[in-house]
Amino acid sequence: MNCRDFREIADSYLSDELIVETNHEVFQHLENCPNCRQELSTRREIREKLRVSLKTAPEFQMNPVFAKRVKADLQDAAFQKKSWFNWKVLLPAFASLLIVIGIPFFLFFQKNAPPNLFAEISEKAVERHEDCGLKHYKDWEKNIGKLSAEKISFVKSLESEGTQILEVHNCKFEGKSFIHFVLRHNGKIISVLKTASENAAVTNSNTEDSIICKREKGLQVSSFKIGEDLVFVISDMSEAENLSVARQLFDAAKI
Amino acid sequence: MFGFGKQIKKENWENFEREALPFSDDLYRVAMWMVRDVEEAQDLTQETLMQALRSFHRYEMGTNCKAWLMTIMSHLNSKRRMKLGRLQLVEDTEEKIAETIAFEPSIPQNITDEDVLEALNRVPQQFSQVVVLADVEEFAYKEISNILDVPIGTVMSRLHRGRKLLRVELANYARNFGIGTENKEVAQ
Repeated sequence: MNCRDFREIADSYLSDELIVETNHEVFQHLENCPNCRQELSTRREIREKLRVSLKTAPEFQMNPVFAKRVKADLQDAAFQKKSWFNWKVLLPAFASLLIVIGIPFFLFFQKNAPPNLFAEISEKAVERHEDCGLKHYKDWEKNIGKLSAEKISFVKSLESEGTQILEVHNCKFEGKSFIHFVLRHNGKIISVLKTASENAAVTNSNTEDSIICKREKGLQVSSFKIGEDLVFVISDMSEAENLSVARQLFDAAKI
Repeated sequence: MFGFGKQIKKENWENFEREALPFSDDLYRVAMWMVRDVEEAQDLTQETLMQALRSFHRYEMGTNCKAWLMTIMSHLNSKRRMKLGRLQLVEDTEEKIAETIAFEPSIPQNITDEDVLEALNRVPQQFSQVVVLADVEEFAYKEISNILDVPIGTVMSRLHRGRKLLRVELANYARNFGIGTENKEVAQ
């Protein structure tokens, strides 16, 4: 081992990290080399001075007032009553709870939801409008003004200069009976179909005071429930125009 | 029920007071070395102890509590530096400078504690930090590796280079101020 080799491993020697054989070589070298002995002694001294200087230098000492305050703060924090309200914990917990409870509820209501009577019957009503109202309206022009007041009482409120009542009859489609009123409003054919709600009890109560609008087979359908009856107003007018006719009927029927 | 909760808090505090609080001075010293500012060092020390108190249930009794505290502090300091945009990675150039110190002047004798501190101040932080943790705080390589979140090999090489740089700085500093006139060149 020469001096250069020794200097490379001198720190490891000081930290007692060398294997026995290398330590032995170091001893041998140090015995014959006063310079390296001096070097080793100086390095040991530097370490010691470094350790002592950092541990005793005033700027590296903690202020006793600060130390006291930190301890008091820590003690306060240690005995502080923990708030149960912790967003980080509660938010995921609430979300999980919502999912766990919500999914079975959703599935239950999906399964037990009342049948949408309007949707089922409006399909049949639209069929009636197409087959009966649109195809044969010309045949019924002769009836204008001849229909008895009793028969047309339900749609009488619609009668005006712009709206004519062409026909009233009973028609049945796939087991469903309707009273079918055929009207012409500004040149467009409107069917008003009234039928008994067979399952009125399960019809959503929200529908009692509202008119549902939707498009079906390219036609505008406005439907509402009045008493025990379901009423469908069907035409190829705009949604607003069709709804306006339905609302007029709805208001008149309520009176 | 409330009495039981209070008892747990009391025990937790007593354990913390016994295991962690005695290292407050060491924490502050290293914090001061890391941030070089009294207020920042106090903030970092307090934040570290608060964090340690909150996480004390994770500390395994009987293991090195000082190393555990230093690890928390090092992570907090990295976060603070990142927030302040002060985080610097060890650049290749610094590593290369440290590697290419071919000539190592002899260390002067009669150096003082202040000379050593002054010289250490001139050593880049990445190296001096490892020197402080190893030679002042006397942590093992593995503990330093955990504290700084770097591989053990990196700890060893930075320590080797850090000590070397310290000696070079010490020699330069002493020469500039005429300290230690008994310089001896390597004979063999």
